[in-house]
Amino acid sequence: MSSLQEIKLPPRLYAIAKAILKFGAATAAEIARLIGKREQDIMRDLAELERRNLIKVSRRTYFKIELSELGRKYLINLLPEEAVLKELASRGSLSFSALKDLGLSENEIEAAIGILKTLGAIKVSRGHIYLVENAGQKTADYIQKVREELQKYSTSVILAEVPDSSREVRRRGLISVREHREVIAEASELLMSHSDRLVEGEIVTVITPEIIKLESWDSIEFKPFDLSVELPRASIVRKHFFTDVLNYMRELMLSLGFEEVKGPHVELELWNFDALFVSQHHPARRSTDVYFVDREVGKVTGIESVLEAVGRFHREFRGYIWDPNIALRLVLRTHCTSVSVRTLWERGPGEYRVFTIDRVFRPDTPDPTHLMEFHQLDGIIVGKKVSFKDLLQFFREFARGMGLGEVRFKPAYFPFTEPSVEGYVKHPKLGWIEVLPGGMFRKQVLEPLGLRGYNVAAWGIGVDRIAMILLDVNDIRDLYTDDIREIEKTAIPRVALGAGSLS
Amino acid sequence: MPVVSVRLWDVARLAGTQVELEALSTVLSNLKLEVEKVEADSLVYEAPHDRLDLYSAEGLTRAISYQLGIKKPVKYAVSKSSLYVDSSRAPSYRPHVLMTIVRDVKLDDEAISQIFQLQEKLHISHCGDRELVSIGLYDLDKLSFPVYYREVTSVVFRPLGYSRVMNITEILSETDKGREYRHLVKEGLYPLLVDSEDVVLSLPPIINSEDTRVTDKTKNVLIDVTGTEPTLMASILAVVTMAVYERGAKSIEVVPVVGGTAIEDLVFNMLTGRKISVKAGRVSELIGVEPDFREALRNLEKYGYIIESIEEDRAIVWVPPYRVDVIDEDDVIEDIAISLDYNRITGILEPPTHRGTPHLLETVSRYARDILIGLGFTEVVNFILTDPDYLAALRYTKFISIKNPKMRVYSALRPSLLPGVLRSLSKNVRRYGLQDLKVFEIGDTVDPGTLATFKAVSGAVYGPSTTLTDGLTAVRTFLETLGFKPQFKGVNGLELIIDERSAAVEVSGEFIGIVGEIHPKYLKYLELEAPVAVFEISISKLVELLVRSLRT
Repeated sequence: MSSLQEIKLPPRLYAIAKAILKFGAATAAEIARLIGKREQDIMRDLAELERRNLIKVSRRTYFKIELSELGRKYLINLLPEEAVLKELASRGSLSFSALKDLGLSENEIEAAIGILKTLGAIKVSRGHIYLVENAGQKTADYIQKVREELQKYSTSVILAEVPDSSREVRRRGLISVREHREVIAEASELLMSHSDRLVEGEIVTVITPEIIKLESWDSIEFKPFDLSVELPRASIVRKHFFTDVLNYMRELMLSLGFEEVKGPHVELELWNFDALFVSQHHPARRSTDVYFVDREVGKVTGIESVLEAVGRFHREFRGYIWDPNIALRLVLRTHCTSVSVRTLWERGPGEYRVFTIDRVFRPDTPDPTHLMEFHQLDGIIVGKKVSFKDLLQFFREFARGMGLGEVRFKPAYFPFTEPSVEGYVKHPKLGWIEVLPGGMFRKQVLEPLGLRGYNVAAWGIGVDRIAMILLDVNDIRDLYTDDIREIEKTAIPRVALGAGSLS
Repeated sequence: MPVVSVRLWDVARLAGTQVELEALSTVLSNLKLEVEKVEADSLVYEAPHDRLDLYSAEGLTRAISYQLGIKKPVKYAVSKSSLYVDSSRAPSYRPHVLMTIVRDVKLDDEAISQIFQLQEKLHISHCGDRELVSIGLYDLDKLSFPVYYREVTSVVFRPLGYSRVMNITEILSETDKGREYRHLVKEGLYPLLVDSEDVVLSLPPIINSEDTRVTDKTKNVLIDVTGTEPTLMASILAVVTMAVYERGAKSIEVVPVVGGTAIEDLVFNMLTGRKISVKAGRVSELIGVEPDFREALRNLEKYGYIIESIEEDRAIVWVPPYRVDVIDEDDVIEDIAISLDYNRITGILEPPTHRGTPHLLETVSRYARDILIGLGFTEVVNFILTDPDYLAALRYTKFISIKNPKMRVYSALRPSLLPGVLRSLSKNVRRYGLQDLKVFEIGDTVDPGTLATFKAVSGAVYGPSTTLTDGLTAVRTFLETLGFKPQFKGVNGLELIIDERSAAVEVSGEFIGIVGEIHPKYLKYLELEAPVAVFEISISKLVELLVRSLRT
């Protein structure tokens, strides 16, 4: 800042600097009064101006001394010790009771006698006071000094320090001493030499490249932001919340040691039903319950042996003439258990855990609780020692991971599992709802697939319902929305953020 | 699952004691019954598909009585009847008949309506709507044995519920049942059950005769099943017979079949009950806990079983005839597990022997999503099922259709994600009056050639100055971020896309997708006012390339 340049100050600093210039020096209180602020509000501004060498700030302590009420009385009247001396001078001695007739208060009498005794001007004997010879000068000096002091402070006096000479009158409560502190701002040479080059700066709402480039941040004032104003949301590009929830489930399965597998959506009835020991006459295979694909399957090779074995088990244990042509019809898979069964057939015996999360299809008209296309999480735990207990424990673990809390189990029926179970969890609004169906695959399922001496815990969880709970969505169709505003505003489920690990 | 309705007073009558509904909740749960509603004196519940015996009040009461300890399971007196049925001239397309006789029952309207309900539920749930098995009940005292099951060309009788006699043509065209089930009989080859004095029992599987009808005066009941599946027929007949038996009978007779295939032993064996060996080792292996074997077996009485003999590590269990759902020892073990209460079966989930691994398609998809979000595309999801008319409007000619759609708009399987992405784009642009928008979808498509599922990613860029460049740069960045080096080659003949503004995407010389500018004709159709660049890349193909590169 060269001496010939302008000094640009933000509006408040500018006003303060102007005020100081006007007086040369001023206290903070005076400046504040002048610009309509409170003293404490401008202290930071003064510090800022001082930092910029525009003012000098000093702090001062002073004392204001004036006569007390008593002091003012003795200025006009006799001091009590004077009154006592005067009476003694005429009477020689005085009884204590006679002292009271002098019009003095008890405090004054006590003070007068104390002082006179200390000065050696009187003696006390047998209830009487006697004047002491040759002690007059010392007492007169004392009284004169007190009188001088009273005279000195007859109008209030401001002093940097309290003089020693005032000690006696102060002790006697004849004067009052009050301490004051003040901040004084004094224009610096720089300010005075630039008094006509002061320029008022601006209030800024947006930082401009200029401010940064010219380093002019000291000469601006930021407009205070009104936080009470309703804010719009920033626009955001999001992943779809439903895919996120499905991925959260996927992660949970991975953490439990499961390997992810996949299978086709267009499926042979063999894998969707027959291999699951579902009778070809079971109502679940009717056209009201299954979408049939308008296409004949071409030549299928490699499944002859499983077809034969599955057919044999149906004939033997379900007792009807099983038709391989039905098993070779094409449907849209009604559950992902078809993927579990395919996996068993491909991998055979062993110790493994697999799962799949994918779409399944059932003839339905969309409404808040139904869709013709939805998701299932199917899985199997395969091994020699795998038991129904493991299945129940898996459900408990899964529910915990999903933040669904306690699971209650009830017996259930599925054509392909024995024992079979349905797990219920408590829905915040609907009460206990069934979300965890499963069981142990029947021997009639496992043996045609080549598994003997192995147990397989299996389940097929309808995950849309769980996603609805997690996302607080009441209409299943909303999970499949392509409305970008809905996608933008749906919050990540608490459970996915980690609440699941606490429950 | 069949929904069954019973009267509580009927249940009380059958149980011989009042049954409090409140006491039943665990019992009904153990029997896998789901109460639908309780109204005045009726209980409506959903029965599990395999518990045929619970489709009527008789079986329900029997099961409840055992559960509550009101009764203990007993074996039944089953004998072969001296009467017989002759099936020597049975129709070849419906060759089998089986019959039982249950004597000394007490019937009233409620009992008859329960048996009728059972019959109807069984026809639908297990009898292929009468195609495999059809059930008939008759008043034994209204007919004379032997009874004949034979094929006839014509007959005249009074069908059940009608006051006049009709010939077969009339029955098939004028009665409800005739119209409903006439597809199950062959013209001129009608199955008929008729007695030795030409009194008609029924025209199975269509309708019974009024003349042999079961009424509240009926004391002795003849039950028949005809059909094509002997084992299934035997099971169905056993269930119906055991239900009728509960109406006060003391014994059951199985009617021998002569002339045709003598299959009456199937039902005879069923009715005398089967024996299953249950091993203690299998109990603990399957359930995963080790209950006291003897105690566990004792509990089985509550499920209708009778313990024939117990050894240290195994027992022989008698399975009652109506439990046709029991196939092997695991079915019995399930009842043991239920009696233990599933909620008390606890322990630890055995630790995994392998680490968990995601499917490569999902791993790549997750990165793909991240990259596209980074490129400013919002993710949408659409259904695999889509509208064939919409596909056709966008000139998609090859896709898989559903034979039995419920709604036409969901009757085709998307062969590509592009139509869905374009529709989502158009919907959002119009709904919110947007000047520009980028959306993408990752999902499965069904290849109309191989019927296989392919995972793909498709995106669309909309805006007043959008050109092919926007699609190409997005795809380039996308693929390079995934570590693939794309090459773009001109391509023709994509109907939706302008020939001069389209490119095939190749990686390592293999075709993995397309990029292009939508032809204005289709922008118009989609009600869009600015250009759109699109791309679709096969994630399945990328994974294939990835696996190949990881292996070499």
